[in-house]
Amino acid sequence: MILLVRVDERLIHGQVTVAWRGALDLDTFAVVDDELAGSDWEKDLVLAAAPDGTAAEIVTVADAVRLWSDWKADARRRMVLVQSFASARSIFASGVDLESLNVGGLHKREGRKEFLPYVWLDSAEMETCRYLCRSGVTLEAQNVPATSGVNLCARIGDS
Amino acid sequence: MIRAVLVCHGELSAALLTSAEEIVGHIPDVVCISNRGKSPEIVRQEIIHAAGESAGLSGVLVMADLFGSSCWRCAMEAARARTGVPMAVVTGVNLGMLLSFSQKRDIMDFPTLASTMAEDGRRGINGPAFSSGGGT
Repeated sequence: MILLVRVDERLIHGQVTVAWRGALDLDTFAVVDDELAGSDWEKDLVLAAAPDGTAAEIVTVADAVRLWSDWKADARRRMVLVQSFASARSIFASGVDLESLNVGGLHKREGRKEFLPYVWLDSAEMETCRYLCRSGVTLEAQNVPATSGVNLCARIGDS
Repeated sequence: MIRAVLVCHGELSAALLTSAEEIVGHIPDVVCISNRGKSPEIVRQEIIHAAGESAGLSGVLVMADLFGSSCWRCAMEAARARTGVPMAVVTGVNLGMLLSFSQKRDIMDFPTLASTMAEDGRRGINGPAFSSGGGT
């Protein structure tokens, strides 16, 4: 089953492996990223971040789209992670029934505007968010389970 | 000279350095980096910059707080980016490791120092020493 689909540029890290894993009783992390999936070195690095007792995999967008229904049907308690809205859009545009996205962390860097302390977006990212919002995908910003979620579609609006 | 770059969550890097300096006095050439509120790309750039900003370095030892964390991953990626200076990454940085670094950085070659820091960090973890809970 897929318990959460999350956008987080840090991918598998403490908030995910400790806080979300505990709250959702996760046992599997699926990272969807074309670039990382193509580099064995980067792949090893990301996979090394998965804690003992959990499984992790890194797949391309195309593989994720193919595997999505299996992921939903199997018994493993899975979080799907992407590091950008662009990857999320690719997954959605390929016909995956993506109803909601958890937005975990897109941090400060040049060209990005602050919407929440842990959500900074540049204009292309805002445009992608608006596309997803218009398409009916719920974007809920929530870095860790202990904080309350924020409706990012409403926050971004048409600004 | 061997430089240390501490890459940690929150205030930990700066707190470790100031705490170590309370014990042994000023420790030169230690760069503190926090990942708070920064995209991994920025953290990576800061590590690369810290490693490359002065000549005459024989090595840069990056000490990250948590294995598997974004701090660690950024350090590994920075080390791979070839800054021109030998780099090594250790995780689990603690006060003992940093104090040991301050004492051994001038008497060991870079690879030996890097391995020794991992050992000394582990050596600082001791116990458990159980008590009966107080009383008589």
